[in-house]
Amino acid sequence: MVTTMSNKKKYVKHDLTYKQKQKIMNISQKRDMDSSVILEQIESFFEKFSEHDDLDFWKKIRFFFNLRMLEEKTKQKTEDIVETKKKIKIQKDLLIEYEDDYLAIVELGRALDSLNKL
Amino acid sequence: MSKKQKFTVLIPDETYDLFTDVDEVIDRLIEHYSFIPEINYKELKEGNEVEKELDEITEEFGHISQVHGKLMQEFGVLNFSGNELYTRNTVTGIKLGLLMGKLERAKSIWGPQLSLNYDEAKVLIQHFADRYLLKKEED
Repeated sequence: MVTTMSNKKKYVKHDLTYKQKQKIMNISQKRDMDSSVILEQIESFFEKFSEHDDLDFWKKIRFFFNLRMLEEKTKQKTEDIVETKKKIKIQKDLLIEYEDDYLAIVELGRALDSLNKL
Repeated sequence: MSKKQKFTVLIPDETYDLFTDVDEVIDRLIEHYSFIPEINYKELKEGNEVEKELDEITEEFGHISQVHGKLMQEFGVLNFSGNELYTRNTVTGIKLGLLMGKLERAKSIWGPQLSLNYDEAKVLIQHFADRYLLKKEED
């Protein structure tokens, strides 16, 4: 379906697939945002893209996305490393505490046993 | 109440005709929607310019993934040991009732005559019971 905006530019009204709708709904739920924001981003992209209509431009965009995605993944992994180091430290401290608890309770048991024998 | 959400996008028709598979483009845009506002349309780099950056960051990502993997392994081993010690202490804790009984009996018979700090022992038993038997969260 082709529609016309006030500046006489022609537009195609494109229906999203079921899978695309699901993906958008999932993102909007996960990030607690209105799904229309994502649709607006996509429309704004096509609007800007129309000023550069050529497929090489799309290739550049894809490179850009790949690069940004890898940067984000790297950043996330770096944060995961910090979190894992924290968890390791907590776990090491817990091991010491568990060992101390065990020794203390065994020692107390022995002390009380020795009292019984008096 | 929820209103019916529209799931259509307006695409300039010349752009629409350019792509053989618009849905594939939209899939990609949904996946990377958060990067769309960051696109600098006037200064996008060519593939060969980005390739070096991509190689570098891929290498960096591979390296930190390995570091993270090793740390996760270390955590896994510690967690396993922690679970074993925790279980051992829980099993030991089953005897706590007996210990508590012994403590009360010792206190009633010998009281302060013996060098046993009853209050401290009681606190220890309570801590042990809270942590390993009642599984209360501690600060």
